[in-house]
Amino acid sequence: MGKWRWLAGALAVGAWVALSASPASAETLTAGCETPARYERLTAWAYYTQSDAFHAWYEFQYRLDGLDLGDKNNVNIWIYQNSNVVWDYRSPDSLTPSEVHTLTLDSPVFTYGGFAEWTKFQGIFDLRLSGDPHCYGRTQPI
Amino acid sequence: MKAVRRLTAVLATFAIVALSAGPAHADELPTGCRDSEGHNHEFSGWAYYTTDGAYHSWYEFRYLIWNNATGGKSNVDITVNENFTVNYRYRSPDDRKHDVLYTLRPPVPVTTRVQFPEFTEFYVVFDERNSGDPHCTAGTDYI
Repeated sequence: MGKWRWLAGALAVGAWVALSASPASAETLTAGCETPARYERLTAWAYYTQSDAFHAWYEFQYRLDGLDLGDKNNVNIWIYQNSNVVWDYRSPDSLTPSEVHTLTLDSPVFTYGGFAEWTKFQGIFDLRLSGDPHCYGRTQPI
Repeated sequence: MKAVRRLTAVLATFAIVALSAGPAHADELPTGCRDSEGHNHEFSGWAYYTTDGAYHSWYEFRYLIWNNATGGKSNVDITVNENFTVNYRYRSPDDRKHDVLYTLRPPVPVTTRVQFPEFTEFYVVFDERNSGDPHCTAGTDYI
């Protein structure tokens, strides 16, 4: 276990050094979804930089729209590499509707460009008068 | 009643989008939906357009069926709508597979007028191995 942790740490440091040493270009991916009733919509953006063999995911934005939404919406986020979840996030249960929310990571999440990587979002909509519907959206793979 | 609610939602969304500026990536519109019968097939679609004065040109569409595997014979219909009238329609072959990102580039971009609400809608039929084929519909934001 200790060996694997050391290896993971070394890879992260290596990726960081690689990203710091060469110019990185910022890229954006979008995702979106509608609930089955189609009254609610999630729109989301994932931001990453690319350098050599690694991608560094550093920011996410998301927005929930719909009719008569309350102020207790949520968004969950997963980063996938080669069909495995490498990072996940659950927002507070307090996202207001109809505005863009931003999550900036203190430390970026690194994924290896040799695999398919993407981000999946789940929007959970706070309906005042009934159960809370949800939907899943994802980015295109990179 | 449902139609009225849907129309109200559409108009409200159009107003919100028109009045508020999100991050500056307005030339790519994402959407998605889940199959109607709980088989956990997911769909994601993207529509791409450019703006030239009073017109939008829809030049590319991408789509992806994902999550639970399908039988490999799904299909995707794409319509571009202007002022709630279909302006362009595409029907995919009956062979769309899951976990494959498909790209459609119409031979000539689809032109719509900015003065009207415009959007792209994807209608997806998932090829389910063990029962009837579920479906879902996903629309982009209005521009």
